[in-house]
Amino acid sequence: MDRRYTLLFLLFFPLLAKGESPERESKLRWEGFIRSILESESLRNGELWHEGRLTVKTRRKEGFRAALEIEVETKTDTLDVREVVFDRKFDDDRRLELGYTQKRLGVEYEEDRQARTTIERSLIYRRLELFTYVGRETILRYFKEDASGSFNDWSITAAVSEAQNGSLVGNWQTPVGGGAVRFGTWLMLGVDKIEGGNQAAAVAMNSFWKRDSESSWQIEWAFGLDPNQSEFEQVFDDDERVFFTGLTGLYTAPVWKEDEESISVTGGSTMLLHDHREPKYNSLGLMLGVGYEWNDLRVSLNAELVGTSSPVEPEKRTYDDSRAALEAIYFF
Amino acid sequence: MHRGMQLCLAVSLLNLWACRSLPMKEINSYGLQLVSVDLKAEDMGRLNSQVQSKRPVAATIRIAGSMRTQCQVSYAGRSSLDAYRKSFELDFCDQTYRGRESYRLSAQSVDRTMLRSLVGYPIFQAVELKTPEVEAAAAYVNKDYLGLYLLLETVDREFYGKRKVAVREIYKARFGNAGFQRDFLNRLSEAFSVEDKPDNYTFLKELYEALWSIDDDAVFYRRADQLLDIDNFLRYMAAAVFVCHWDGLNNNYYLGYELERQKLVTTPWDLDRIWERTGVFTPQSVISINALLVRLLKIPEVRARWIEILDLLTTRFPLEQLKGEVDRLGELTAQAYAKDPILSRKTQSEELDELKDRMEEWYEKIQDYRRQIAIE
Repeated sequence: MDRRYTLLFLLFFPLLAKGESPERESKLRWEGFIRSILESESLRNGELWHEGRLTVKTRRKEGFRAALEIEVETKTDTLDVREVVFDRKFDDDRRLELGYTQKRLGVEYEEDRQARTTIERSLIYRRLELFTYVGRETILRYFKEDASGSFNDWSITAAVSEAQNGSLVGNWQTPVGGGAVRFGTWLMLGVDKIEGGNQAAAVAMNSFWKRDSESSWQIEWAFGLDPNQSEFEQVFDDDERVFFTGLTGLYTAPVWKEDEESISVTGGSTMLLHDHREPKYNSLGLMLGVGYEWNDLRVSLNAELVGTSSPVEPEKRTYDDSRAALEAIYFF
Repeated sequence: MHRGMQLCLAVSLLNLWACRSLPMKEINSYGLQLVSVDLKAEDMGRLNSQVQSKRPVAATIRIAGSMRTQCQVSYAGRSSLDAYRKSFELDFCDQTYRGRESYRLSAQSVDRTMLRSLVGYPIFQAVELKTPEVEAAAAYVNKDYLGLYLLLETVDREFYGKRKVAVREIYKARFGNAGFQRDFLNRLSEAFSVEDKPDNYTFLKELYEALWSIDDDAVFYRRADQLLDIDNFLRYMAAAVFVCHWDGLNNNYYLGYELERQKLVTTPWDLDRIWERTGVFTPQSVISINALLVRLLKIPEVRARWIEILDLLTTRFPLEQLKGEVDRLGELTAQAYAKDPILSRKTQSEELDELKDRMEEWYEKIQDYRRQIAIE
């Protein structure tokens, strides 16, 4: 898409939301965000780009609703359909979703971007994304919302990707410690199409988290099969399965707050063991962030230092996965 | 601004500046063209979950010394899509490399020498065919060494445009069905795909109909000559037979409809199987794969030209020269090959020796064939 059109779309997005007519409001709901981000991958080569995302949802009618999410961004000047979902809500807070949308594991995939306190998801989620254990697929999800409507009591998801990978994800959540803290566990079992056949894939994610105006924190542990390395072993080596595990923690607290304005700081760390056969092959990550929030506008600076040891020379650690980003985002 | 915010910003920026001296992964070109692709984990995941549709995702692409762009990559190819080692289509958006806005980073997953295309395309060039530019490359994804790849020009509108040839339809031979067999006369879409114009097989159909409905060879020749650049087709087929490109007589070639001359011109593609299965095939059995070639070779003038082209190729590319080229290219790619996570499981010298043995075996068969047609 031509850059001029990309920028035009970006400007158009929030106007859509503000320009709702009473008639249109009765049928459709518009929400989304626009953001500008100055990003430095590997702490080098800073790039400035802009992105807008718009979700259009129909009003629920006899329990049914449809939603469409589109994204436009200047990095590659593309307009992309991210989600197309049909949703049926039953009287007892149970819902059935069908469509092209996110397959979720862990609390950062349960929450939307506005609830997340960091610009990007934690390092452990990037591993899950790389393995396609999370991300957009064609899914059928049956779940029960919890009383707050922010999370679920349980869910079960069947997903299939265009690469002919199929999976089932079960999730169960419960409040602990008097309700302030939640615990959730996710288990995914799947089949991946690989060179010359298929392989079984499995991953488990366990999360404790707390969200309130005083502080937010989360501790998460993931364990599962590395499908990429396991495929390599199966095709070229001795057919051995390779497992990974990771532990991550994130804490956010406001340092200043006044009416609708606040400044908060975030700190987190992650440890990832990439191969159960070689514990010295790992990644260690430290994340620091500061964010300013005023109503629906947020400005954040995140810096993340990630050191990864080499699989062949474990004592040698490199920092290519480190990154820093300054983001201004407006939700509408 | 709030004082706490100012302090945090200052500390963060100071830390960022200090981090610039951190050790990063070493990237080595191994004496070849260096191509690196960087993708976010989410985009890499999307790429892997959309293998079959080959939908592109955002990426930063760098070709050392030439360009760095933020654009898109997708997986490429057909049979190699299921392979662990996949090819990529690199889209440079508004930037160009060697006059093109896109290039193929080809895994050549069936060629364990990685040299077949490098040795093969110059042979097609020698008979004045337009061929894709190709060079060996050290490929990286997210700073991890992917291995020895080929940076390869694709055959598309940009390919012909760069060579100042205006084309309308571009037919790509596919599924091993494009051998001009009668069975596919009414199923041309199963034998050829058409770029941009999916339903327009009119011109190709006329060529098929001429082949299968005109009995008189002289009449057929005149009609074929109106539709096809016969000399160009013969030069392609002779070079394909010369290198045992058995996968290129009903597959892996392009027919472009040239607007100026209003004729189809042939372009080679995907030489990763040349000099393969030389024990199974003979030049005659390779020729028999393509019914149009078989029919044309029945015409004495065409046959004479065919012999002329074959003689040109055997004179221009003696066996020892071909073997020497394999050795030279083997040396050039040796370091990248030795570090390749998959190829390094093989011994390069053994793979090259096997290729040279197959070249020798095929060369003898070509010479036998040449002697036989001289007698005929």
